[in-house]
Amino acid sequence: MNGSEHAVAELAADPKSLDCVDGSTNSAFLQRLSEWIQCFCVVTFDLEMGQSMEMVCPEQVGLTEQDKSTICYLAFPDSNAGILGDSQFHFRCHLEGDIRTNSRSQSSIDSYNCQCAPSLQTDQGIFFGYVYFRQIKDRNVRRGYFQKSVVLIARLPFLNVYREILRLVAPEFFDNGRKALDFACKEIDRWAAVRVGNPLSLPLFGHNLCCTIPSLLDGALPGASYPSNLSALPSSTNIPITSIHDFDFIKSFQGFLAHLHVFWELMLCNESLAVIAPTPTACSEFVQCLVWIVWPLKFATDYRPFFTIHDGDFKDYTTKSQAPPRIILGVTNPFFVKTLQHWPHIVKIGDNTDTVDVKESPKVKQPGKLNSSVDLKQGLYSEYKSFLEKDKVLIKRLLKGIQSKRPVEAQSSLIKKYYYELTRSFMIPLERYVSTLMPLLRDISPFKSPPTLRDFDFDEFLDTIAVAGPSLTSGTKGDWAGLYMSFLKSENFHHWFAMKKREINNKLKLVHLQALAEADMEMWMAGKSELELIDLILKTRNCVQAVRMVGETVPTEAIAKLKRSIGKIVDKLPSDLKDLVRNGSLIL
Amino acid sequence: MAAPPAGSTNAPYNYNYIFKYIIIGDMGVGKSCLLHQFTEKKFMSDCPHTIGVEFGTRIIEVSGQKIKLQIWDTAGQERFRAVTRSYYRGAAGALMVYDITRRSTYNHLSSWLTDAKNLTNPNTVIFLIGNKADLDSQRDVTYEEAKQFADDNGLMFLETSAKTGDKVEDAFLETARRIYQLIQDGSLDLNAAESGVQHKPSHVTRPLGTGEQPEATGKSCQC
Repeated sequence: MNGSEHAVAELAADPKSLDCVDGSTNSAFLQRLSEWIQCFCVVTFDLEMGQSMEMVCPEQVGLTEQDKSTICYLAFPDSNAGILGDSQFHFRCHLEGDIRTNSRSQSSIDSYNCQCAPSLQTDQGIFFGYVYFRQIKDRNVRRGYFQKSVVLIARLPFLNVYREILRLVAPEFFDNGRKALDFACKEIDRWAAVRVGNPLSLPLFGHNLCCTIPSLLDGALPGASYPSNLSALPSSTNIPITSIHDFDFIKSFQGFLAHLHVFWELMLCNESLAVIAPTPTACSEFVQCLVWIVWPLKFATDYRPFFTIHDGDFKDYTTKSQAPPRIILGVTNPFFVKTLQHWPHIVKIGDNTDTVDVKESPKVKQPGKLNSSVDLKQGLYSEYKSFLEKDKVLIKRLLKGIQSKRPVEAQSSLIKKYYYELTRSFMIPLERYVSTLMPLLRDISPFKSPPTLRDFDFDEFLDTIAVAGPSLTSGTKGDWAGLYMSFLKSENFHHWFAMKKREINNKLKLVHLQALAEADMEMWMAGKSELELIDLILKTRNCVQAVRMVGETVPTEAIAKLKRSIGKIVDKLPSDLKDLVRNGSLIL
Repeated sequence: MAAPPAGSTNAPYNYNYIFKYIIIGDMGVGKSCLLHQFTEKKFMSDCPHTIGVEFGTRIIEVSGQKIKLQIWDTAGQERFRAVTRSYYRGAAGALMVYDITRRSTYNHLSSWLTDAKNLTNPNTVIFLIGNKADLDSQRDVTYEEAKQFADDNGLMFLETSAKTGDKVEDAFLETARRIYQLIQDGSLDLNAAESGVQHKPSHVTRPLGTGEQPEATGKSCQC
């Protein structure tokens, strides 16, 4: 642990840190901490009761009994996988307690969500659980095993940051108990704010976690935004995190190279897919890799990187009386092979991916072959016919890379690049079409309503594909139009377009308000009735409020002009009404 | 006063008419809360006393016409009665509110009604509202009694709850329907006068603008 063993002891010896060990969990304390994490939970396996919550730190984070139970069941492997030693995985779940509101104020969440790459946006009421699970032989315990998990609950999908935190904190906890968690909370509470785009250095137990949160603008290649001066940092205590969220794609997808394009289409169109893997680590990483392949597009439906039979949604997801929900499930319990038979797409990961012969390119298997036997061969089980052709050149290069033992990072970045370019080529025509839905500047009139984005016309859009489709920027061949038709029905599309629309309409409101500020009021007021004069004052006020409410700043110059205009209107009112209005709320 | 929107004739306004409403009644009967519930679909639990005049707007639809309601809300305190003349002038609708749990607010209705009749035009639609209907256990004025008062004076009547939102929409919308009906009948003459003289609609009719969708809530920019 690079000398972190004594970190807690050192911290304890520091009088500055001592004064805040106890009773440190007041609300001010939670403020900064809650930007980064909600809490640590320790889940133990009680021989009488099964999984149980041993402690929560900070305690008053606001978990209900139901929340605790949810976390407990997701904190341990769902089947006896015989994992020995330490392992890490993550889950994603809905929590219902005050934890939903105790954490960062809504405005700071909103501003983060506006600035980060869309893929990294948070969702209301949804939390990630990052798990550090230890299972070792211990003669002192009945049944001879020590089984315990430290779980970090957070809103943000910074998988690699939280992994590193747990790598430092969990072993300290196992050695020193609760005070390790208290110290960690105290240190995290002193971290810089969650800020998009700038290199961050986050001190913890004598180390510095160095990372950058990718912004909306550099939402380029995932993991491409390294802190540039990293190699120059002299200290050995720095832990560089090159990508805050990415896993090595090749690790998960190595046995599925022939299906890379199928995965992308399935994710793009929010198909229901289940991943059955031997361990929670394998399934959570696989599901997360799937979700990231449409980067920087936000994956708009639910996904559960690790899901167990104890989950409250288990019945809904496995019932054969209705179509499976549009979600991605990661599971390990062999029981799921049976219960998920009606799911349209199933990925089965073999027990040991290293031994799989990757040269063989496996065909997509018919789901019918998913028989009742729990021994399922590795593969993709689906009747899906992909719209696009596979990228044979890429597959060849990856296979060569495996033979020549090309570094995992290099292999992964080949896959990342492939997916990024696919997504980009796919989105460019959509972006271009949306820009044609913009109203013209000359249609913006100060005394009319602010113009809004026109509606998305599917047919009109599909017509543009024929002339300027993805084939302009992508070498991939296939039925792009068919894929668009499928995508336009998906949740990903609806979410994407809704965001675009809101963003553009907000800008239009601002442009309109500026036009209003520049308008010639004198001319407009001539011959207007009292009712209309009041109406214009109200309109102006509403427009200013609407622009402010969406977080846009109205230039002070424009505000000054608007105030002068309102003054002119008020002057025009009959004198008794003038006083009434001046005493009221018609001030900007 | 009901006026078609002004501006250049081809202006794509998102409403065809503006109706002026006023809300009158004693202090604390829930006038501002009714306005807020109607424009924001929310209940204000502690609402400060209105000083001077507050305005709310919302676009509604009646018989396919988009109508922008410009609602004037004033202080119920006696000392503000001085400003009432300009407040009442040209109102197309008047919502007269009392509190069903406070008899005194009901007893003052006749004086509010006298003001309304004297200071508005004969076609102003007056709608009687018994507010705080959610507090039925503390009721101090029966429905029947108030209904009788409304009938005797030719008023429309509903009991509402600004807290739960019950019947609030109905009161505002019924009033608008009645006003629109008067316009259709020709009783409310939009061409009557140019001058903005009291009790008279003030504007020449202009071609109606083409309507856009009315906004669902008062939140967004309704220009």
